[in-house]
Amino acid sequence: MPDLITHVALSHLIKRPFELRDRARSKVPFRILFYLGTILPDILTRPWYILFPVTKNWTFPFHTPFGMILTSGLIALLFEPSIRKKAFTNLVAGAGLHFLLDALQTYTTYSVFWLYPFSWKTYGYEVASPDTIMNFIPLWIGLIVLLELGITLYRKKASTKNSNSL
Amino acid sequence: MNKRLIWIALVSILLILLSLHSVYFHPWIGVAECLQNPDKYDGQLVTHYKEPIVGELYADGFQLLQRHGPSIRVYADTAGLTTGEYIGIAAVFQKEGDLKAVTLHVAKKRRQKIWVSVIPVLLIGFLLTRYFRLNRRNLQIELRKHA
Repeated sequence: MPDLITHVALSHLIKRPFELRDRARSKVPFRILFYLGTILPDILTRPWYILFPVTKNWTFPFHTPFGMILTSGLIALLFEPSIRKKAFTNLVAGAGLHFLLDALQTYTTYSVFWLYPFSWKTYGYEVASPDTIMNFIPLWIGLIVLLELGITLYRKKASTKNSNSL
Repeated sequence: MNKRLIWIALVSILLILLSLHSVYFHPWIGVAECLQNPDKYDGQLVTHYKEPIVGELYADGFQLLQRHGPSIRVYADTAGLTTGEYIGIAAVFQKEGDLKAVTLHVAKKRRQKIWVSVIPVLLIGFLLTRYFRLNRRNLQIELRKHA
């Protein structure tokens, strides 16, 4: 797995541009659920088997797409009905992004078990090792700063244009 | 009974079944299984280790230590290996009670990766409590008023 900063930073870089035109604060909580989705497969498995290695096979399904769909459903059921669907969608989308990123890294043994529990086959693209990916953390942070600056400038320009036209 | 509670119970049962499936039907072999039954697992690929670390180094290999599990002698190219490092390894078990490495990767930044990963967990935890709250009357998570 890439480190969680990489997961969250890339999820921000992908999700944030979709909010460019919309200032609504109501989108922020769901973006956070999207971030949560991107770290969920790891936080439900890694800490447990690092601390208690015997739990590795027990927690394994939480690091699979099917397991995460069920887990996201379970978490979404804890939300009030009016936001349940949005919570579920963002959690699942975040988890999906997590597995896509995981599939890009090199593995000594297994990549992502996309089809579990129907198949034990793993599929990945093996682009870079987790150690290499960690070197890019400053780049992700720099890109986030640039993106936020860009969004602020774009919105400022748009609001000036609107007030001039009035 | 509440429909929501039925769904929560159903999904939880499914997750428990998935875990049981993983525990009893996984295809990978561990070091402990091999050492318990060397003839059965002779020549099989071992891919499952419990936090494998490089122990004592030899000219033709090293002692593989697991945090929870037996240690085992591994025959491998030791160039670039240091005692105490985390590794990723796939190796063939030999009935003499040792392993022959097929692929070996040193996870040099594993410890940093774990510590660095704590930051986003704390951040997201903080943001979740800032934007959501648990309504204790109906046990449902809802948006905070300012959100």
